[in-house]
Amino acid sequence: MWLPQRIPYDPSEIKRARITLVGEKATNQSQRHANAPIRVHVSRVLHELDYRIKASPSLDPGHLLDTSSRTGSLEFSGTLAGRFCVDWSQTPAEQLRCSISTDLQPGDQGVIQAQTAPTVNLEFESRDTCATTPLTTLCESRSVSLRGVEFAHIKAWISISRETFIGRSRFVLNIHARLVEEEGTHVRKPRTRQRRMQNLLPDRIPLPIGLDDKLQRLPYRQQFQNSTGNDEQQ
Amino acid sequence: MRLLNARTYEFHDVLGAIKPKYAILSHTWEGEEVVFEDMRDTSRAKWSAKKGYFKIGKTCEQALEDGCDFVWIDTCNINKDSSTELSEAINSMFRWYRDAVICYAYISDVKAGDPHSLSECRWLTRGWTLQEMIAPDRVHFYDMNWDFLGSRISLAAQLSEHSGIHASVLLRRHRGQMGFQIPTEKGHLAVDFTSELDDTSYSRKTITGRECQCCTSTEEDDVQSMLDGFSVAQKMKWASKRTTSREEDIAYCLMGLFDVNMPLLYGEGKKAFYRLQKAILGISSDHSILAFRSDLSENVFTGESPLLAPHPAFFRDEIQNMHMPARGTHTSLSGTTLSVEMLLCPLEGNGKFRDEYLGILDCSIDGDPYMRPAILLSPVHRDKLIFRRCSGEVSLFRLESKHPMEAALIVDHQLKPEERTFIRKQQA
Repeated sequence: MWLPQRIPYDPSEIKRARITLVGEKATNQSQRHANAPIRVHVSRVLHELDYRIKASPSLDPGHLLDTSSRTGSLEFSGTLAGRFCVDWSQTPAEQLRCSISTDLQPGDQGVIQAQTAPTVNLEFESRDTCATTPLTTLCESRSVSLRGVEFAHIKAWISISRETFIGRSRFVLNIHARLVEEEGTHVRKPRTRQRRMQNLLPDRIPLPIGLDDKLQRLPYRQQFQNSTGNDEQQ
Repeated sequence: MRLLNARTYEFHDVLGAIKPKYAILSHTWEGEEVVFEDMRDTSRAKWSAKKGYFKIGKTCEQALEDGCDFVWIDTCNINKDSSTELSEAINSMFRWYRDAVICYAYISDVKAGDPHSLSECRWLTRGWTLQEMIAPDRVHFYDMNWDFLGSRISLAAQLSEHSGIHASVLLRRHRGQMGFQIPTEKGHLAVDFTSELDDTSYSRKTITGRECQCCTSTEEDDVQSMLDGFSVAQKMKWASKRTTSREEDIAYCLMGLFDVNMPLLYGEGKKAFYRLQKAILGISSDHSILAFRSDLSENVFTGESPLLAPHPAFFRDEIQNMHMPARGTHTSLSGTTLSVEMLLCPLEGNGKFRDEYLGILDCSIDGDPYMRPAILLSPVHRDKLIFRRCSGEVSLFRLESKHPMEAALIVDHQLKPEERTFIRKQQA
């Protein structure tokens, strides 16, 4: 752990108290300070549009970000609707900062709008070790627009959600997307592929995949749907 | 206690408190030592041919000269095959050295006349010889040829400098009587010595004649009451650079210094030092037992519970106890949980350490009551005031009146101004 040469304090705050000091094995401490897992959840819309995902460093089994690396990126490229990147980085203070950008190379941080970079604290062990909270969206970026597909274009954005189960947290980096129908256009009867895309228009956007079986076993299923099934909101 | 008759080389068992006058040997173990089994099972001609006989023979001769008919030597007076006897000996050793009429310190790698050799001698690096230097009232030093090097009093300046032990302990004097100065860098007390320092006649003399400013008593201190005047951290620091052959012995060799007893469990490894500290906490509320830290420049990670120090080497600073028993507080250790009353200061709003607290110890640094050590604490349960020491490198902070709003990290290597500038440039 990095230690500063000087730490400011307020002498007027000093109070005498009987405290309990506990000792821990190093293994316990490393577990306590372990990084919370961050799972990547990609909207079904992007799968349907045949987007390819290139992760650097590659995702661990279970779609987890490899947080042993301080920075990384997810590059999404589709033959029909262009390319966008999600960059992420961890600060020394265990904060996760993410950003989404379009038509940029991975790591091209300089031109990203500030609003597209949500930041969260990666607190693995909650201070209240009994806390159990449903999957809740902590922050959400603004959307970026991608090239259209026939009479619709794609809006993509990211959000970070956290779920806590008896004091232990895990995070989800959601990559959301939706097709937005352009005004004044007539949506023709879709051919097979187009019909698939039509099915992805807002009123038919399905629940996001990626809420795997483990999550579904929790008694907050309804709340998960409210908190993460928000692809339609923007 | 088993004594050796200095004339006949026969063993003499002593039960009870009344013992005959005896001399005791302090030395470091080497090859071909004459052990108990040799003397018990083989002829004198056979064991006296061993190399280790030299110091036994010289000890006996010197003891007789000094009016003692008996001697105690750890090589041959303990039957180490008997765990009961070994345990009794180790638990009693400080007392046995204390009760001896005189202790002969045989420094086998030093030759009289070499002014620098004492600083490099092996005897000053071993764990067991710490109590052997402190416990007896009189210690005389002999070189490899058994030539007299000096007494503990005449060599006190050298011994204090190279061992870090306060000269007052070696001189058996109240510290205030000697006009001590506390150097800011060396971290141990130095003393002005005069030519009067000589105890060849076995009489103690007033060192400088200066009276203690805080205490008018001129009576000599008993070793145990004198040691009670030093904090746990100070005594640990004396042992911090010493080594023992067996891992457990670094704890066992300190029992006498802290006036605690515990059963020996060879094989327990580092846990012995944890048990020692547990025993110390059973009789003392001295916060300085928490004033340990790792050497940040060496990037040492404890790997063990940071509640208590894993080794005396972690006591690196001159920390005095300021705990006031009149306050009626106590410190108790149960398992890996320590209940202690201390000053707490939250670090709210301080960036990375916004959740942490400073635990300010009832101690002073370098004898300055306006300089206090503090440990960094993380809350495990804030409302119940349950904390743990911050993990990673175990650190210690210094709070001082000169900078009353900032706690400074204590490090061994203080950066020079030009080094700080260089680092700032690198960071920029």
